[in-house]
Amino acid sequence: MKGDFEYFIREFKRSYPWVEYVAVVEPDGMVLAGELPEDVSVDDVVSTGSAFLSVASKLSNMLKMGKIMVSVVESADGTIIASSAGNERAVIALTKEKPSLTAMAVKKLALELTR
Amino acid sequence: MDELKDLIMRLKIDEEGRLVLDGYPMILTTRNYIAFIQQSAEEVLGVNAARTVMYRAGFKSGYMFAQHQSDIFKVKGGDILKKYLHDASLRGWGNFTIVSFDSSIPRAEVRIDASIAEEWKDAGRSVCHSWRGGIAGILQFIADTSGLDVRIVAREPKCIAKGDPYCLIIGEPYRHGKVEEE
Repeated sequence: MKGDFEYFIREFKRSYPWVEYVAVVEPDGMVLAGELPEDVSVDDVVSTGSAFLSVASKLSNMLKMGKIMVSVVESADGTIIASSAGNERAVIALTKEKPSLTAMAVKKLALELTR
Repeated sequence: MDELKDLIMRLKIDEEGRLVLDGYPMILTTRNYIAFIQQSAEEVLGVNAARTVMYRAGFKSGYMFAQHQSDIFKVKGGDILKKYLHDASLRGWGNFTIVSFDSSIPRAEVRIDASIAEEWKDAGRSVCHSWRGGIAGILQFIADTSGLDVRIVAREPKCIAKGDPYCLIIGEPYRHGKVEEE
């Protein structure tokens, strides 16, 4: 399975070269494939990223907006995009360019990984 | 009953009024209060966020317990896990049994009867995240102090909250794709 995730990440980075970081993660702090910035606590980022998706999904359910597809955080220095790829797995990406297109791409990747 | 008496003998009230067990401040509380914390987190933050919080809390607690046992009481390896689970059993967390343990990996399978998962009735999913974390924390300490460069994770293939007769937690070094097997 690790090989498959890495294939998808490799293809994603080839198709969307402006995306700085993209990773497939699991909530207990594991990075299944891809990478996150070196100068951050990966454990914390992965856990918080998974929790962020969980909160977003909960809010969407409460507001009867259906299944969450993608969560986007626009920050001063770039955009963080996260999407659930199955019950527990998630895709997290960081980009400074083309956030809308990246969000669509992350959503597509997450759907592919869910299958 | 003797073990319970022993536990009571180890409990002290310090000068400022804290309840202390083996140097640790303790709070004697109801099982449903602990469950309410997790259930409230599930309601407000979602199941995965609650899972993450409880796992991390358990992991820190387990790791710290192991460190404390090693530093103060010179307890090592599998004896730390035994003591942790023995104390947990006495303190009302359920009836813990070590099904298997291998310190060289390290890997442990732990069965919990009458666990806190009973508070969830039929959740249809595993809920003992603090115990997954706790057992992973103990094993991580054993790995770190044995010079093993591994990342320990724990999964719960069986849980009372999803209709199993008991909970089963397996802690071992992380291998890609392992979680999927649950």
